[in-house]
Amino acid sequence: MDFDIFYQGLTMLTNPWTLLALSIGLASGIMIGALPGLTATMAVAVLAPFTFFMPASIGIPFLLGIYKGAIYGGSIPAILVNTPGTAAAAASAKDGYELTKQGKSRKALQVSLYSSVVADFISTLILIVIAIPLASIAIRFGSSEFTLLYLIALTMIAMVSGESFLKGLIAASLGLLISSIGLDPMSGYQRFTFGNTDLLAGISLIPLLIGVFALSEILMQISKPEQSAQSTIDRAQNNEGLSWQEFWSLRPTILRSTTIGCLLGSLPGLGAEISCWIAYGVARAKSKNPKQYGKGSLEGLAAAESGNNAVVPAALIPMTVFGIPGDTVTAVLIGALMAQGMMPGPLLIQQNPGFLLGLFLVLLLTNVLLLLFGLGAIRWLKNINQIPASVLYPCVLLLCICGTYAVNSSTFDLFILVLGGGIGYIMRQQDYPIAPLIIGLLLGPGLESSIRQSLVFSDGSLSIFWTRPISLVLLIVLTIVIAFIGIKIFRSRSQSDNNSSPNLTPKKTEDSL
Amino acid sequence: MKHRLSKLLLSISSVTLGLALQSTQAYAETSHLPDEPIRFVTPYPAGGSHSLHAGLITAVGESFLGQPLISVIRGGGGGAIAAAEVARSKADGTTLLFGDPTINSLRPQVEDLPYKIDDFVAVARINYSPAIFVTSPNQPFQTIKELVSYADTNPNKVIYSSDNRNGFTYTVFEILKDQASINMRGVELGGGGPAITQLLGGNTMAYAGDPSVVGEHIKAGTLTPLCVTDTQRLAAYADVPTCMEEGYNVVFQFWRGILAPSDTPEATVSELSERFEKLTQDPGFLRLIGKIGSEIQFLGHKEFAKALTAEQEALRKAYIK
Amino acid sequence: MNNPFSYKAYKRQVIGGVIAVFVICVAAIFLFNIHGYNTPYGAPWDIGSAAFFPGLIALLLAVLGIFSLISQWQKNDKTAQAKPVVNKSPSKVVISYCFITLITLALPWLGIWLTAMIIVPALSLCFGERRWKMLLLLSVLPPFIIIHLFEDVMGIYFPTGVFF
Repeated sequence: MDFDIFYQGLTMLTNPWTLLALSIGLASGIMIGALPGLTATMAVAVLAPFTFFMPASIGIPFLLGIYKGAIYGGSIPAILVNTPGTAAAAASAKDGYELTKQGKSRKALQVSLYSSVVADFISTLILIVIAIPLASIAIRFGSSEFTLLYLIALTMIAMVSGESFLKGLIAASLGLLISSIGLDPMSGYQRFTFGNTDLLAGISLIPLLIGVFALSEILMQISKPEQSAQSTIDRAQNNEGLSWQEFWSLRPTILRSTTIGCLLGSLPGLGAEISCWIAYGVARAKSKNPKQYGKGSLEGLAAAESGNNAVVPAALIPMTVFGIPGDTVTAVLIGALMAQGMMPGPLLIQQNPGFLLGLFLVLLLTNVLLLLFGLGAIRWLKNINQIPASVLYPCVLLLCICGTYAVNSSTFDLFILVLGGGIGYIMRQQDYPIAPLIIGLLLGPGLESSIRQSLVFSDGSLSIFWTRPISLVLLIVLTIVIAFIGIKIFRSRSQSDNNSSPNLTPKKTEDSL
Repeated sequence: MKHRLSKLLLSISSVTLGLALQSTQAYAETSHLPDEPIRFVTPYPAGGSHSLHAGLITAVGESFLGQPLISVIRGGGGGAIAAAEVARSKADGTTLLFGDPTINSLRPQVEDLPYKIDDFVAVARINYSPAIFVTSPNQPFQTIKELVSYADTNPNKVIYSSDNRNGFTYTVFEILKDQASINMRGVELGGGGPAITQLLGGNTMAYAGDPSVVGEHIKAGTLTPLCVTDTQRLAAYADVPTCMEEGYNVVFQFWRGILAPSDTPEATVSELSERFEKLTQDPGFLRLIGKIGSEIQFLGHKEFAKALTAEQEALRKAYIK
Repeated sequence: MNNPFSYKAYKRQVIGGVIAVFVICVAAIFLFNIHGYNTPYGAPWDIGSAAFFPGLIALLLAVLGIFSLISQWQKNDKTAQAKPVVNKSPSKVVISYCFITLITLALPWLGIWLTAMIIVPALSLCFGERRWKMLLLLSVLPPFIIIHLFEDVMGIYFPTGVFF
């Protein structure tokens, strides 16, 4: 019996059509992910109906290939032109693009590829080995646990704020405030819409993200004189690759970020977008040279990339074990599996273990393919900054406009794009960090609704946050994190007390966290 | 050999071309449909049952409507954005809304939304699904009667998973609370996925959802069905009683239907209705619909309009007393 | 104020102050909305209400904005001087930005083709491209590839505009 299952799984792996579908999916996934605005969710949703006409052993690997490819692909434009292709790659842009500016784009692309593949591989092994115990813990997470997790994630603002904590807090609060615009799902109130129909849906994240990153980058480039001189520097240093020693020294960072990504991914609702920032923040807190972060740190890039890619296999855990979507992509995948007559969940494990095993083996194989495809892509992509700015950036702009419109087929999103571009440009000119704004936008809706849900659960009593065992553990973790950050800020302030003006940061910590 | 092959190909292509020309001419003579692509607007983000159905309809739509059916996924505001946009669009059959009861019957009556019920005219109902009330096996109640009596003796102690305010689950629980005059607390979790997660994780005690969401858990025994909000039992879950059988008049059919802006000409509406009826009878389409665990309960534009008015009336009575 | 560095630092400080005021204004708009007539989103100080969370954040933002304004006031020129000012031609950026905004927002009327064919060469012009053959090529090739990629491969259609 067991051998039968194994055999069935292996036949799926050796089926040439499965491999072909997987490769096509992966390649198109990388391309879609690399285009700003086109997200993994959208790609999988658009292409899912086509798989209804294919057998499951071809259709599902195809979609999985797209999913993985898209999450990886988002990092490519983030590194090369400071335009995260997906929200999950926003943290990769921070250090990745700095590396490109230093003429190390090849090295950055390699770090991103290797850490993605390693993280994905480890996470897939975890999925195969301990999916069921992990899922049964994850499902116990109620609203109060999520509230505390969101708060822990919010403390990462202190880690990504750069030089001025005050400016970081302003950016984060602005993000949180913007995220509260629109129809409130719990009360049905139309908040801050000022009578505008388009604002009912709130400020869409992806158009704003594209504006703040890509459009503001284009504006920065316009203001920069002497393009040609810069690109010759790039050309000279372009061939420098990643040495084994450099990669080996990233090992603890990658392992830590993979663990974080895996744990967060297995919780339904927390996706790669949030996990990359937490991985990045934790890596910085643990790092020996945190000053390097945001200025082209290989560690920072590796942390962000392994943090978001580890989520992909982990998000399949709630799906395969309980039939619950781990994120929006898996929600579409469940639909596609249903169309194949296979409802993921407890029954799939019992009734179709061979298929499931085959799927797991395919997931492992995807990593090998991703490595090959990535290496092939890097050979070409490292040359992208030899394209003159006068050709590259106009094309990037057009892609951004098209991608923005594609998100919701909405012309209002174009307005958000240009507004975001303006805000992003001013923020950069004035040294306001962009990362806290994005974190605020990402966490706002989840944080607010989980707080309010918890209070409905407890009938208005705050005791829910310490009477539940997992909540209590998380509350202690949160307190430790806040204390840790408080000490760090206090120390750095007393160090730099004599050369800078009085700063109000330590006092504000408690308010924000 | 080569020559013959190319000749054959040529003749085949000329025949198909001729057929295609003929058929477009036939459409042009009698059709009241617009002669440009039709936008089929799904009001929810990708990933739900709504967009799954829309994906199937738009995939096969062109051969029945004579025009490409472009799937436009326009989520946000719980469907209100898309509805408002369709309501404002040109009323010539080029823009259609894939609506449902919360968007088209309930919310415009109880919320201040940028569109009204009368902004739409019914074109065709594709299908509907009732909700199934479920609970987890370790709860103190395992039938709907036990749930009601438990909630009666422990007012406000039953916590259930809800979706959105005035959403599908929200509404059926409101009707149940009203019919049985009990008090329970609902937690709006924003969608079917998180709602069922919280129920399985033991954080909430009950839920009511689409058969496609709860069905597999009922079969696996991880959830216990209580009753169905339909007028008759479901074929797939024949041992689950209807709520009416159990003595609670909770009937709510979550339909998926096509609506057009209200000024669309009568002739266009009836022709669209006919075309969609043909589409829903197509064996290939039915096979696909069967694959996603759904069925077709088609209603033409007149019957659908009647059903819609009745539903709006009933909800008005239930909500605005 | 006579050496160029301190003039730039001064300008920077003024812009910083303007931003702080802007932040305070944004916070104020939200606060007025929450606490305003009838408190439209429920009681602002009830944790379970729809008004609590944005109310708290808006208050925080206002406080932070005031702090930022004070710190701009106190800031001595030394800190600002240490940072070299990168921006060499702000007016070019402003013109480009206004142009991009105008064309992008006109997309529903111009249609995707006209928008693309105007914006790509125009931005290239901003980047200093002067060869007219290159500009002509840019106005045709990238729009052609990108629009076909979205419309025919991905099935995402754009507005065609009023001219077609």
